[in-house]
Amino acid sequence: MIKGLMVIKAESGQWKEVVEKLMDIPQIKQISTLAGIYDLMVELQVEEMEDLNHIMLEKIDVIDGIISTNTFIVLKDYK
Amino acid sequence: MINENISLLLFNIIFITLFIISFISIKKNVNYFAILITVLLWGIIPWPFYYLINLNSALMISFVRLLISTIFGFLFIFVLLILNKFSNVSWFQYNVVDLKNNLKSNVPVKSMRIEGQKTRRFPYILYYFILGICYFLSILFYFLSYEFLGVIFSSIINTVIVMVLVAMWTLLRKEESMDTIKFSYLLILVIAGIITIISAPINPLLNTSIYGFVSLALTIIFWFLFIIVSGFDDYTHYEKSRVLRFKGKSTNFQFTKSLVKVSFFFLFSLISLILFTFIFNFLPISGTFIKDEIQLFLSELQYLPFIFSNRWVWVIGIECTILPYIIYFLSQRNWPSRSLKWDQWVSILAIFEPLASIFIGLFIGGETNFNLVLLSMAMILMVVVMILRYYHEKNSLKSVIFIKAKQNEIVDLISRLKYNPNISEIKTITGEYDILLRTFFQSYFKLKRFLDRLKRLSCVLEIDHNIEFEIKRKIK
Repeated sequence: MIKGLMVIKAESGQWKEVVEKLMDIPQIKQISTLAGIYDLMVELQVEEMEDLNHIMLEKIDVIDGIISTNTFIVLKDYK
Repeated sequence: MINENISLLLFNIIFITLFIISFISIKKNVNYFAILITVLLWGIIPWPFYYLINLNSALMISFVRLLISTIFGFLFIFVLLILNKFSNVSWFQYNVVDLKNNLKSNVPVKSMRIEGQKTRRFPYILYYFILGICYFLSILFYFLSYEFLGVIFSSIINTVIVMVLVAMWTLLRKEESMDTIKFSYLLILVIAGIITIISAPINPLLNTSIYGFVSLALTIIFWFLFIIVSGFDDYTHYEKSRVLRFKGKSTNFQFTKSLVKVSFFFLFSLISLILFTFIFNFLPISGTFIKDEIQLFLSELQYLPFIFSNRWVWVIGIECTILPYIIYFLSQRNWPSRSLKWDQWVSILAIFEPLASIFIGLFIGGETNFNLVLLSMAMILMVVVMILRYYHEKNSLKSVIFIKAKQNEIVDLISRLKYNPNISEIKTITGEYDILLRTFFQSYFKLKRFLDRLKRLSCVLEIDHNIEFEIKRKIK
């Protein structure tokens, strides 16, 4: 099981539509709206790295309203 | 009052049911339910008290309660030591069978660390002694105020004033800000207190001497001091780093440490009680209610075996004190991170304690000479306070913080952050940043102070923080 975190910058006024589309992706476990450098943060859980690559390139990056993304792999949960 | 045997049977049925439910709730990870049960068990302390006060002094009840709790607390730790030696589950910080180090790491013999203080080290023994004195005096005067003013009046007024004092204290220390919700629930709390005073039976209260009010005032002072002092203890830096490094990180050690802490302050409470008794006994003052209480206690000492044969003594010591503490600390262990913090739930559910005491006062103690309409109003207001408090805690300021740190100091940085109660999640991540934190603070001021401290750390290279508003979760 691989846990990933993705922070997203969305076009202004479009984040609600982006969230709705992200909610349809089964591997996404949690979506948070942020105020700061990023607009959204999603937590993903996938079985293999290939799945993560697939979701990022073919499911998330194609959503209208997303300006940029930054993805992190979770190495360890300490708390 | 209802028949003593039926009452005892009823009490034990309720206790066993609550005890089983609390363990199921901890197992199912609904830990806040275990806190609720603990609070209820503390709230029904007046139940055994009603049966004991007819035979014994309040000082004697405090003495036997502390004695039984101390003995059973240390007995339980001893059982954990044996379990640690013979089972795979570790209950101490050291995951290995290392009795010497486990004892050394848990027995507070040296100095404690005080969070946020310039003088960071303080003799542990003195700390426990202060805690013990505050605890013993608070329970003694609480029992005396029960005796003079009744359970219902004492428990509501004590809760209202202590909650307001603690809120003022956090404001003074700039730990929390005064927002609209907080102001509202404090105001409602004060109104509930005033309504309780109005609803109280005028004649019995006037008939009671000033002793009752003095006792209640002293209860409030010592209970408030106890709450403030108990918050100063923290894990040492050594403990933090040690825990982080050992493999198979069991969080059971937190339970043991809490149990050790509570057993020690019970022990020191007991020592304080004995010292207090002897000092006051030899002071050349007479005619005060405390002196009378001490003389009564000393005269009762010769009947100690008879007192211990009373089943309610064991109820108040074990079922209403040490076992609720065990549930309380077990609920703290493995606390679900995506919930309110443990101490936030404790502060919300604490209001159930006086509510339980009111029911005991009405149905067991027969304190029905209150204006019941007004008393019901006060109780409803206290429930409103609890709901408002829940929303206040729930709406704390959440943030997501990304940290870029020096590579060889990441583990050390995490060990510093791990026991910060305002951090709900810590993850090490790959990519642009090294660590992700999820935090929640009661105010922007506290978040800013935390970020400033973080920036000052030499191992922190870069910080990026984002305020978190809405969290959408999917059902797993």
